[in-house]
Amino acid sequence: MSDFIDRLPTSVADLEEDAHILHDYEGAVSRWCHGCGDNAILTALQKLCAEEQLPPERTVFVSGIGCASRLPHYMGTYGFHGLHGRALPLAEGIKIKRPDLHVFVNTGDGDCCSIGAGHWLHAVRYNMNMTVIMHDNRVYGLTKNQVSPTSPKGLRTNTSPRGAPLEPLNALSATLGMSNISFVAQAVDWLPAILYDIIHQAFLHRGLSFVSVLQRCPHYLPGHFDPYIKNPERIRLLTHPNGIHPDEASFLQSRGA
Amino acid sequence: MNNFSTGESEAPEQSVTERPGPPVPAAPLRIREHVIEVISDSGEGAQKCGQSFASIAANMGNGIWTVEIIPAEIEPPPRSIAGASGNRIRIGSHRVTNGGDEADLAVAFNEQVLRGRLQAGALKQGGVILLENKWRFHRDAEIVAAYTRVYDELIGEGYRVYEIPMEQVCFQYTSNPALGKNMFVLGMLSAIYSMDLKLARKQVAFVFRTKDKEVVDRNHTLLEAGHSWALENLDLRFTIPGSRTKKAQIVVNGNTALALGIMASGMEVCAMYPITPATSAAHYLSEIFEHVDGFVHQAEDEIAACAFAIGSSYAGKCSVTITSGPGMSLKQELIGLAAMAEIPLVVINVQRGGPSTGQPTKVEQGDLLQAIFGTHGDAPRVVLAAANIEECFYLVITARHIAEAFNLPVVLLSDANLATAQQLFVRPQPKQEWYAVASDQNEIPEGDRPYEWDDRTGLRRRFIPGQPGGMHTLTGLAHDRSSRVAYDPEINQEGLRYRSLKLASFQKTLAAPPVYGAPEGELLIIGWGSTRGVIEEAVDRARADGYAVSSLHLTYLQPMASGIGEILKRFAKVMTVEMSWSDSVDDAYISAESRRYSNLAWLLRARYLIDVDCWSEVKGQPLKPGSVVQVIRRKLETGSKNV
Repeated sequence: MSDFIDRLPTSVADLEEDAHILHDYEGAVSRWCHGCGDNAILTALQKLCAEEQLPPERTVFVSGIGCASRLPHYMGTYGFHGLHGRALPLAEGIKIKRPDLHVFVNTGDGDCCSIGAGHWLHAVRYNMNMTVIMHDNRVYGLTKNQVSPTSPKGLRTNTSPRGAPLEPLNALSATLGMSNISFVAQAVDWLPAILYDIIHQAFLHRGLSFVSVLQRCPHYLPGHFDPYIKNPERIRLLTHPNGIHPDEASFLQSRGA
Repeated sequence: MNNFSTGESEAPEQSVTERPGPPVPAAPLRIREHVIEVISDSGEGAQKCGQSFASIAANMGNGIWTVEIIPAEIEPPPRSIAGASGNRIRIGSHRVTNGGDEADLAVAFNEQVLRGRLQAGALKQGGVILLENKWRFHRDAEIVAAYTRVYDELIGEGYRVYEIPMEQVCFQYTSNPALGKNMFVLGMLSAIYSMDLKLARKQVAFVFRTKDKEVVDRNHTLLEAGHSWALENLDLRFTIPGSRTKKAQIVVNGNTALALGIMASGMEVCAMYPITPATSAAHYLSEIFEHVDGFVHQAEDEIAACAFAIGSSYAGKCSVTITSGPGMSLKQELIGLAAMAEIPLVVINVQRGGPSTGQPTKVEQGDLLQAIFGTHGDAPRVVLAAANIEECFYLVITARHIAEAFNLPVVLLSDANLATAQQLFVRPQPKQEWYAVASDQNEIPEGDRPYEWDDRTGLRRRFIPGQPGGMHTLTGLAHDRSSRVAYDPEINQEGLRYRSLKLASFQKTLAAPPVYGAPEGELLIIGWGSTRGVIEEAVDRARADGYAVSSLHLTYLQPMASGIGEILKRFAKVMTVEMSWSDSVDDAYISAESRRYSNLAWLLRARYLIDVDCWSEVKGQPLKPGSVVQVIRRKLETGSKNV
């Protein structure tokens, strides 16, 4: 893969180290709600770390503030739970100083597309080698149910009691609209095999990879994604000759076919 | 070593100088110091001329201090009062620490920019003015009228005005005299102040070092033309004896000194967003930082710049972000994060006039309280301020040391005055201990926690990514010793205590600053930052007049050294002199209970429970020693009423 140089052992000692097991990447017990899609993202990331044998001491998960941004606490690696909206510039600072570290960013839709929107677009331009996962549950959870820039028009929340007045912003098209964009993908939390494949490819990509994950919030938006979950035909796997090719069987299996 | 005739002068052809060719004085007049201003429209090169002149003087062994005169716009309308652009140069036989009082001599490229300086009270009554006279012959009658009116007024007010055919003479040497007359003026000044023409030639060669030989030659010609023209036509000859030192010295402005200090401190990342007057530090750094594997990041905004610096500090050696007032306000939340998570960080704030956009190119000291208290909650940080150009260099190194030793944010305050002022100081010889040591990448022993606070000092060993066994998630939330989010009410109390204790520990390393003047007396003036030279000069003058006044300069504003309270008690009256807003007690509605004090006065009153008075001025100009002498007189002659 293109960034295999990054992943080469840097010393003989590395080669002699015992292999890491999944448990090495587990941190505190997650405090997310039962059924929260963030758990699926956490599982995929832990699996990725084990699969790629990332040294926990040379892996950093950086986040902002919000439900999604609690993720670093649940990893067994280094983590930086920063300020609301500021995960990306913090991560850029880490990466510029320490290209030897594997840097991941976990950010929510409010963190990324609202308070941190300026940083998001410029992070795409900087195109530094890091993996950015946007947990898009389309609502503010940690602050208790406010409208998000990705909330669908008409969504009733505590700050939009008569329904969200605006069309949501499309994070994918906004990202694609930036110069220097090098990897954009969307995944959903309820198809774990595809989610893993996409995050895996995002990790292997050399440059900034931006993955938006549609993520269920059972507390504030129960059943919000049900139309897609119950009718898998409404989800289309986009393919491209140069794109990723998840195992057909796992895709069908994910869809419950 | 000059080859120019000093004999009988021959008035140049078409000369319009009203005076007959003056007799050249036999010997230049020895003076102790002079303040000179060179002013023009923006883009006419007065700044380059002024800076070069200062460098030549420095090479002659004089003490110098320069102040840039900067219009707010890049290209303000020509011939406008607000468009004055140029340089004030104070040259002395002694060490010069500030821009001084009213100028003794001014060179003006037109009469309108000169009016701007007169309105600002920058020129000495009856001083010498060298004025470009082409406007007298302009085809636009209004310009001629405006010029004549100002000229007549100046003569009426007693100024010694010399009308100089600058462009006319330059035209003999260049087809575009507008571009070259600044070097003609440089030559003129070199002659007036008896500078070594060889040194002047060297300086011109240095200024145009990146240009073609032809450009250098042309400017040398103009320099020499100005020099000989002045010798032949002006009866102004001064000499300010200097003392050349064997030690290598450098002439830089405060922002360049900051950039050099960043390099010398071993910091490797500087993140910034363009803001006046801080930015030029990053210009210089961008040019040279890569030679030491450094990196300047121009971030998408001030907040990102601070976050970027914090991120890189967290992952290794301490980093720096550099800004001015508005940017400082934006960074405050992140400075709180660095305090909370105990990440070393250096923040440099080159202060300007505030609030809001305020006066971007003008000096003020209004950010002291925001530097100390600007973050929500209790976010301890160390705050120190540079008093001169040399300190802009050395205090960056100190700031980096403190940040890494105590794992906290350190704010270094400079200001618009220091940013562009030039001063001479002994060339620093870098020492190994200035540089940051390599980041610790050793394994963390099992059981060690990332916030193992020492109960007495509050210090703890910082874990850096890459250290095996040190994995934890750093957070801006209240956290326990393992960096886990705190849900226990005692833990928040504990964390705040330890973070605060670090400041007390650092304070133990500080010694009380020395008193300038007698150790006790009637009045103590306290100052901080770039006003030091002005205040000490004023104290010297007032003491010479018999006033029992001393001064105290504070480099460390947060925390303050032990022993300051004792010093204050030895004086009958104590006051600060600052460049931040304070209410005047002369205003009808201002009483002891409603008065708002300038920044440092607030701090001193709160800490030492002494009735500290203040005098401050926020005109955007560096303070003048003469004004401070007036303040001292008033304070000591008007009983106990606060001034």
